[in-house]
Amino acid sequence: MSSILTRSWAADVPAPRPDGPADPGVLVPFTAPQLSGVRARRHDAPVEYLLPNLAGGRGTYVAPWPMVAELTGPSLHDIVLAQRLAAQPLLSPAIVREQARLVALEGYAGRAAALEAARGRDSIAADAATLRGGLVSVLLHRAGLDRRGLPADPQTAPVREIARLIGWEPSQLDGVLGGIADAFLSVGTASAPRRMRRLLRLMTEVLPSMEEEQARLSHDHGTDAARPHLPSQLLRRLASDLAQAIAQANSFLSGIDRTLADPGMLIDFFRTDAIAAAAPVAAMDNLLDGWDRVCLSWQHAGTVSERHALIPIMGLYAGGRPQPDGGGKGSYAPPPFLDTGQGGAALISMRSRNEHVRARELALDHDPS
Amino acid sequence: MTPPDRPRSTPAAIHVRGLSQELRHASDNKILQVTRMVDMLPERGPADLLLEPVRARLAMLRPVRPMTRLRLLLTPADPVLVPAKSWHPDALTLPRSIIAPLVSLIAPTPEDVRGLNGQVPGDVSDGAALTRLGAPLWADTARRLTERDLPAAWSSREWQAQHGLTVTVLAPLLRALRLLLEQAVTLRQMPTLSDAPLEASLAEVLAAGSAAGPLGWGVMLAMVLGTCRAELVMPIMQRFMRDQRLAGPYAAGLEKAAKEMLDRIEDRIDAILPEAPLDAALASERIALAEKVGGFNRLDQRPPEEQRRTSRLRLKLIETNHALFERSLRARLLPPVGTAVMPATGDPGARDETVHTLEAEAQHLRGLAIAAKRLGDGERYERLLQEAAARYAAPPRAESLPLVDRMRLVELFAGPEAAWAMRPPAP
Repeated sequence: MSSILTRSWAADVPAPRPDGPADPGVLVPFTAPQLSGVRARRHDAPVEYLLPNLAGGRGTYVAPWPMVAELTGPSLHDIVLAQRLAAQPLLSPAIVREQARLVALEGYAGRAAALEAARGRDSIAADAATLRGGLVSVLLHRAGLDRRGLPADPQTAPVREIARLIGWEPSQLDGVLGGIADAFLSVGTASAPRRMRRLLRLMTEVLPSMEEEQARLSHDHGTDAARPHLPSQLLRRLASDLAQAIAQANSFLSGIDRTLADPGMLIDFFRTDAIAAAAPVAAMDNLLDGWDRVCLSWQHAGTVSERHALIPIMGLYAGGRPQPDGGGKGSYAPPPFLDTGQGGAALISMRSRNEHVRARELALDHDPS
Repeated sequence: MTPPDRPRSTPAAIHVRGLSQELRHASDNKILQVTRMVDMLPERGPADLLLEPVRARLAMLRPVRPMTRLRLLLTPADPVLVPAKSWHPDALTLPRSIIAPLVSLIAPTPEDVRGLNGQVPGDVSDGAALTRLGAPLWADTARRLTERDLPAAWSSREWQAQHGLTVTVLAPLLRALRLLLEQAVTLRQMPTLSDAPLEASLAEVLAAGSAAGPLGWGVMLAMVLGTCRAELVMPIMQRFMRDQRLAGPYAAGLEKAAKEMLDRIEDRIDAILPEAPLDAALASERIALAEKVGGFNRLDQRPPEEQRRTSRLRLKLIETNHALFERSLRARLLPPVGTAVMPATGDPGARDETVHTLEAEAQHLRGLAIAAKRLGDGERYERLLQEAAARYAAPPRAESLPLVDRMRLVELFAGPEAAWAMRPPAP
């Protein structure tokens, strides 16, 4: 095995390098429980998968898909998804999410997920139009214009008028506005929130429940350093990571909101350097990667037992990125699935749970509640 | 040890016995109705005895019952609590007739009794939540049982005749119950894996059991064997006994605990299965049984008689599980050719529901097949699953199940590779 797999210990992976931190990859929403926490990254070579804790030890294995499939036993959904990811020149949270949505839309993650994927697809165009319309309204307001005073066509007339005022071609302004709407669509605005705002709200709702459970676990099992209670330690770390992610995401969001509040400046910036203008959104997307699965799994677990069983697995979704402390005490190190003694029947039921969670993840793309 | 006298027959007891006999022959619905009525009584008393003859059927029917504080209190002892008339003094079980004396000891006032009959708020369907709710009650009751002496009046012939227990019999039973309550949290949180934490938890309960005398020791072993896989805990228990030089009644206790565990397994294997196809609860019960029998079957260095019995039970379980599997598979997922699995309806909701039901049943069946394989009976299941996979891979013309739904079913029957092979050729 060692001749094919490259083993890179957690201590080595995240060490700061002159050219930046090692790429931790993107969490892939696989449904097979054996693939929980598996991340994917792609540079020049084919897609690399990062597998946490394959043999029960600390560290991360890096392997190509055929090896991952042989070692873990993916579901049909996972095989299809890996095939689609292999065709992508780059992997980012947004790209993985889009490919996974398409696979779910075809029904590979079950009918509930297919329904949610279809609703998400249907809402994208409408939400992009809403975001674009909001930017145009602010621009009109800043220019002291009123939509009612413009010619009849409500879609193109305002853009033509603004373009005239700033000395651009209408098509050029139209293209930039479309680009901005696409780039900021996953965040939306405060009045028309989209996926990332919904996710941030979900994380904020889940955090107190996680902290409460951690306090109860500490109470039940004590805080004796000589006899540490691993689930309690892991949950403390998970809740702390979640709180930190919420704080950072709120900070990103404030910046994004300030940017969106000044569309004139954003248009200029976007025209000059679209990637830099959209960088805060991409950074926020990277930050939130995996927290949807953590929070929705937590919410989906209806019982205390289910939550306790999930704690080590959830750690792999978001906090399970290679850890700066090299996987010391209190880091996420769940037992490997294939050696839990739970047998295949338990794996089937866990896959079913993952499909429920998958449907809820897809609902974040459209659910206004 | 002398068996206690049978409870004295009062007119009320005779009446209850009559009703109870009628209930024995009642329909499932009637039993569920009576159970609901008994559960709603503020004070159950003799009405609880009504359910005595149908407890085995109630276990199969699995009605949702309100959790009172008394029921919560007794939860740790549930696996070893048996009806008074099927209890005998040598068994590693506790007769339900100890409940009334227990209540009078720990709840001396009518207000205390009302408190015990009060419903427990919160989620009691979940093991961990129930442990959390029960922990203070179990600790408090164990403390009370330590502090309180049995009243002198309980030595009277009248009291003993009324309760069917002598003080000589009752005292060790209450000590065993106290031990179970003291160790309840550790027992309920016993790790299931063969690793250091399991050994540490087990050492704790075994030490407590060995200090409680032969009955407490035996009851504790029975609880451990009921909770964990025999092949993991038996070697640890045997090592503990060797290290602690436990022999005589303690060694006999281990054999008795194993025998009674196999008795309980046999009762469950012999229980009449419902006519309905496999559902989630029944599937998990049959899988758990297979795990238990498989655990005993994997033990070596056990008495030949036990090994022969385990082999017999394994064969019996193999046959009953296989019959259940084939009946369930052919009921809906693999009906006779010409019968469509998808109803002819244009309602998308109904079609979604049908697919959901088919997938859930396929999951239960796959789970049972995996458990059967671990028992050494995989081949017959595989043949049936392959038959089902073939049916969905190339369905009859009339079948209107979409390709992806069929692929997902084939995945459950024959694995993802078989499903992947069904994909249409690339355009």
